[in-house]
Amino acid sequence: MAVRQHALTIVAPVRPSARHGLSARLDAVESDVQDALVSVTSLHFARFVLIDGPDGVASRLAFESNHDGEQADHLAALATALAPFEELLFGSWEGYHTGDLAGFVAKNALPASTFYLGHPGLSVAQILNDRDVRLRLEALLDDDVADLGLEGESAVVIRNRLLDRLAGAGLVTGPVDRGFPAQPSSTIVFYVLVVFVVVPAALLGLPFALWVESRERRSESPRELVAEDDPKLDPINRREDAITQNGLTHHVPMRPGVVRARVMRIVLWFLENARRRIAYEGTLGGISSIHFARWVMLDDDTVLFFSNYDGSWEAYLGDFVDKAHIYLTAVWSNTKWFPDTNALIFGGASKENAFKRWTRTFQIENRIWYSAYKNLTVSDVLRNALVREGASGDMTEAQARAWLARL
Amino acid sequence: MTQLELSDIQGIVLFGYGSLPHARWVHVSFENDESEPGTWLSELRHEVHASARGKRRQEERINVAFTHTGLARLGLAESELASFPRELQQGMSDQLRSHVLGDVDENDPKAWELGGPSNGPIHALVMLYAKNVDAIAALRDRVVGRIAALGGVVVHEDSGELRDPLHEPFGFRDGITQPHVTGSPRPRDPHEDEVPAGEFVLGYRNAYDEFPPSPQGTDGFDIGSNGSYLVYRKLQQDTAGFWQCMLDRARPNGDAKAATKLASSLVGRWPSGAPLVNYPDHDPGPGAEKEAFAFHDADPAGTKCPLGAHIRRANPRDMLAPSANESRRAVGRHRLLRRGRPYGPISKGTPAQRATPDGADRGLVFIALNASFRRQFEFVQQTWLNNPKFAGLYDERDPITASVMDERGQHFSIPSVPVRRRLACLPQFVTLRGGGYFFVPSLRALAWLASRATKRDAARPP
Ligand code: HEM
Repeated sequence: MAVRQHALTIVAPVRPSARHGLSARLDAVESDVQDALVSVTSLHFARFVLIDGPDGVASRLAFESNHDGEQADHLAALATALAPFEELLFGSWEGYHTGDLAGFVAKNALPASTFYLGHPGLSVAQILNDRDVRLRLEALLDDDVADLGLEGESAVVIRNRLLDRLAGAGLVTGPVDRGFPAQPSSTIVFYVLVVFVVVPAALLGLPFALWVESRERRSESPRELVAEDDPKLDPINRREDAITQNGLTHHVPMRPGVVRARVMRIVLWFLENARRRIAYEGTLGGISSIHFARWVMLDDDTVLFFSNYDGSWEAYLGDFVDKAHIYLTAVWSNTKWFPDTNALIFGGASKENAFKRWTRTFQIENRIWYSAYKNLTVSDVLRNALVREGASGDMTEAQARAWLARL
Repeated sequence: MTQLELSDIQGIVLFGYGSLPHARWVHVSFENDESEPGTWLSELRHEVHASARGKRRQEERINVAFTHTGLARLGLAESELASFPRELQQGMSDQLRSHVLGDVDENDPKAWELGGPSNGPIHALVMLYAKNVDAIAALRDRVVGRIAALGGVVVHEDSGELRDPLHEPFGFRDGITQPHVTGSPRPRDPHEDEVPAGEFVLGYRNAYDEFPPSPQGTDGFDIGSNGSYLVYRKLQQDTAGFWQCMLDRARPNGDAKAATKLASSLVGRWPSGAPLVNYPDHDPGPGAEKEAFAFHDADPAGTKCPLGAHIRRANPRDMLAPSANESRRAVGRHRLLRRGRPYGPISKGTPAQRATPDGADRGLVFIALNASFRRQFEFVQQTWLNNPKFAGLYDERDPITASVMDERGQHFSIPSVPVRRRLACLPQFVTLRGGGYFFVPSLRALAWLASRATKRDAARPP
């Protein structure tokens, strides 16, 4: 049975009595919480972050996780692991009853409008297993080909020798079912819809879009964007780029009006479906460094964006600007103070300096951030899976060469 | 066609002064309240060379750059100082910058000989170039004489020498690849990529077709226009350690030819400069260094030139995901103009001779120019050279420049058929001895700064 990955998002107000000093108290337990979360074997990533409420102060506590399997099991495991921190983490929420995480989640969980997965169908356990397979094989090869008596041998012989040594390590090898849809029939429907509805609608809507843009440009009150190098960003900078992965949290108000709200929903719907039906696995508009990402629309007309990505912020944002600016502009041009756009999808995120400043302005520091496999990039995860898949059964010389080339 | 204001842009921005082999970099401080940086700069600025060719063939060159503390010392207002990029404001030795640059352990600013917290503050960097030993000494004495007379102090001094052809201390041909700046009067070599001027000079369009942010004066003067930002890093090279390691790891062990081959695979070029992608098996000797090459089609798996080789990491050209074209476009936004030169005695001879320790201090004074520290120099350093996950690699950093953060040493993978070879436990070969971030003003900005500084000199308490 293939494992499915899910997103859980909760954004709820903090009890007034719990607000004081909450961010410092969260910071103080971060490393303990990280240690505790290791026992939640269904958990890929998680974070707690304080975000502004409609009153403009950081009065809401958001929790997000990316997890395997049934939500009920995930919540039970979370509740157990985080029991020592329950009062601080969950008990800060208005209306939370001790011991009833599941009940609270049932009432407060928010759907992600667009949920992106970098390595679908791979459970945490599988990812860790595959990492160990890879590391074991690399170590065997490091011991020097000569020691293994592999000098001058064919790829098939080398591979067999390695697999002999790998056996008994208690690791899973060979293919696993990742539950990829075999071209679901709804894909056709999606294409038809795109060609006959979305494209004509976009064309018809173009003059209107231009009009909306120019009107907003005149009416939007200016906002001083934080320079990318504002000292305010120091705490964020200090957290970033220390390890292979980073978590970005971004929270921005929508531009006012029904048009923007509609367009936003359509774009997010479109991206979600394109992701599910066309690019099931792989890249977000040519970016291959995102483990999980999601947009969540909140009821106070603001939009949250969470992502867990590889590499530096500068590289990640650079990828946005270089490769994915059209998609991102389509989404975020509906939010306030976004760099000027043309026809809703041009300009905007392709304006390097302005886009980076805008992103930084609405970026929020994570209070607690967790990853189950901190040292793995998306491409590591996918490559390790291929190594594990090829670590059983027989291969031809050419196949064995291709497999060895992954090491 | 971009029209560069050559008479306003300092010469070092567009030229490497290859015909002037002797260089001296003088780091100056005007900490003393009695000193007169204003008077000094008012005199010096008339001698600073621009990029326009002079009437007579120049025998020497003078260029000058300032740290952020230096600009403050010249009397710039708070708001003017705040309009410079944060990296300049913080300086290279700041903790956040070290975090981004990977300047930790052996490379930690605490142990630096210049620019670190335990060294004196640096206000200005004077860069001097001349034809021969006597000329550089005379030029240096003249310039330093005036500095001393006006109360300035030389905090640190480095000398560099270009040997013809230029080889860096490990013995590899250097200074080959350089982007061609749009509008530069330097003739373009066919192998060079053209990069928009705004990637290196403020006031022109950059690779995003935008104008780079430029620091501004309260009087409306555009301080940044025709200026640039300069990175200075003194990189000490352990030549003996490098060659000993290559000999030890070579197969057969101790074989000079195999050691040279191995060393070349770390660099990505042969000692002559010939690219491994074009000559995977042997060094064709001088003449091939200027050949054009790329990675995507010629060597996708790195079996000719390892994926983690220094020149791949420093300029991945067309090799990055998702496609050759996208890669070229993205990589074009992170280019550097390199102006560094080797320092210290030459190391010569066979790998075995080079591997004999002689206790000499040698290395590279790495100098690079860019319009954005963060998007160019720091990006190259962080996302390419020091990134353990560069181009799908698993856990290794630049074999030449990276500081080894793990006491077990670091890996270097050499893809081959049927199976890769991975060197484990490589030591660190290059150690950062210090450095700084500088602003290279235009000639007009030098005049503006000089008048500011003169006012400030005059206003000082009696
Ligand atoms: C002591 C340390 C270093 C040594 C020995 C060294 C050596 C070399 C050599 C031999 C080349 C090939 C010659 C050429 O293409 O011009 C090269 C190229 C290059 N290096 Fe370094 N390097 C060092 C440090 C650095 C650092 C710190 C950076 C940047 C942060 C850097 C950036 C580059 C770039 C951009 C190229 C050109 C690559 C290309 O365009 O193909 N190098 N280096």
